[in-house]
Amino acid sequence: MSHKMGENNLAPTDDDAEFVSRCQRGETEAFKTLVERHQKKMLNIAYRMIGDYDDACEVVQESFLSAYRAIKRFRGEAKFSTWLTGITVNHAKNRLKQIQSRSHHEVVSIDDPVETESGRMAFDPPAREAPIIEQLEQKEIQAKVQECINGLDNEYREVLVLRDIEGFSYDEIHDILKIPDGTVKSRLFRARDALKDCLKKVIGDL
Amino acid sequence: MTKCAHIEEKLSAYLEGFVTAEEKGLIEEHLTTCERCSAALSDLKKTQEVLRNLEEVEPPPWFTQKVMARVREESVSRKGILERLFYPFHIKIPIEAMATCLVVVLAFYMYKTTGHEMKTLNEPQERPTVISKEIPQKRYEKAPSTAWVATEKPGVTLRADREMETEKRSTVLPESPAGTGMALKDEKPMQKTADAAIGMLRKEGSIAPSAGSAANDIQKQKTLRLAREARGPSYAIQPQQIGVTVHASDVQAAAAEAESQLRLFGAHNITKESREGSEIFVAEMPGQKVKGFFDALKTMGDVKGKDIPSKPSEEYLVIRIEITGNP
Repeated sequence: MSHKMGENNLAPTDDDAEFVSRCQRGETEAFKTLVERHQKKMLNIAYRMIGDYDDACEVVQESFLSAYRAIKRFRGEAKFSTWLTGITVNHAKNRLKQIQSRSHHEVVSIDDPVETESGRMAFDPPAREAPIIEQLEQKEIQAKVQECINGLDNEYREVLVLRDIEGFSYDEIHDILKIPDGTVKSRLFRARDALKDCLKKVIGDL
Repeated sequence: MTKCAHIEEKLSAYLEGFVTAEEKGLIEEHLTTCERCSAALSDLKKTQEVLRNLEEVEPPPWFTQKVMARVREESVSRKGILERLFYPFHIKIPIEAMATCLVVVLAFYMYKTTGHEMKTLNEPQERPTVISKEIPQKRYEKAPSTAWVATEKPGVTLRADREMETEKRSTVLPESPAGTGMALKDEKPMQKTADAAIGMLRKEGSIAPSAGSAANDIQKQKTLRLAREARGPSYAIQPQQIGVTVHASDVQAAAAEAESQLRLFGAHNITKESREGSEIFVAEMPGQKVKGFFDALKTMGDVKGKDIPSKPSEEYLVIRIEITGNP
């Protein structure tokens, strides 16, 4: 478990800048350090956005490859990690669209019963005696949270993942998604409300 | 209800402090009285906490290697088409480099050999007239019968050829005295043989100017020897040659100095030749001045020579000065 909100988990910019400029000079091996440094964060962003570990791994691989191809055009206006996150988010969104169009996946309404791999989730009223959150296995809760995230529209999903899960600042989210600050906030607040409602449905009393 | 819905919409912004002071007051006032909205705020806080506490997934152990394998593949395929044409396989690079070096070395060696050969072969055609004008004839009368030491070097061999030609001219001059004891008329058949031999040498030189082989040199020397023998003992009278090598730190400056010294010491027929960072002078100088000249040379650098005469003489001597860099 980790506490990420409000923290900057990114590697120091200067360290990245050194390896970035080495890559720009054609030192392929310098990219390895950048991969090692950022792979976990990128994988978590992709995984939370897509909801599938294998797909997320593929997406992050593609993202690193895209970043390598475009690294000569990276001018350092933003931090390398911010730039890389933007690439990863775009790849994840594209993958999501592919998955959704392939499976004719209907975007889950917050009020719809939640579909799970084992079938339709029971919509039983929460027991008042003991909070279910304490009784359920942690893993199960995690899976249910992810299912709720998967039920969000893509544009809500990305801001929620970036802000509430990965802890990026509003400025960084603005740089990553290239959308106005106000839009980020309004999407985020709607996403939180929707998620809260979903979690209440699937878990019960929070 | 409408008010509750409105308040609930603002709760997230309220939590992050993005509401105005007026809105904040209204929300807080409402929360004290509305249980439903208070519960919503509490749920929102818990939701954020749940999200923050989501477990992070770990990348698979092969991840970096897999990404880097693709990156390396990409960087190789990005190399220019020209580069790929010339170096389709990495293993070939050392072979190609070695082959290129070998070709360059061979070409340079061939150029050096043949270029030098051609230069020296072309020289004799213009030189004899100069010599016949400048060299006083009497020195040949007095020249001791020192045998010309022809070395293996093609330059020296050909110089011998030039000198022989000079001799030939001097012997046919009417005023040339027959001090060597052989009448001109008696020489004629031998002269013809010698001329034929020299002609042969010339012809050989003009036909195959690039042939710088040792075999060719030996052939030339044979022909020369034949020519000398045909001319008889009187033609063995040659000016004595003295060769010295001067090792100077500044070759060009030393060469200029040597040239002016040569003139100062009354040298005639000075020729200068540049070869591989060396300057070579060949000149003729009265024997008695040679020692003084050599002393002057010693001020320029380290002088090395085998044939520096111990006794001064009045004869004209051929001196060869090679000025080269310090070893």
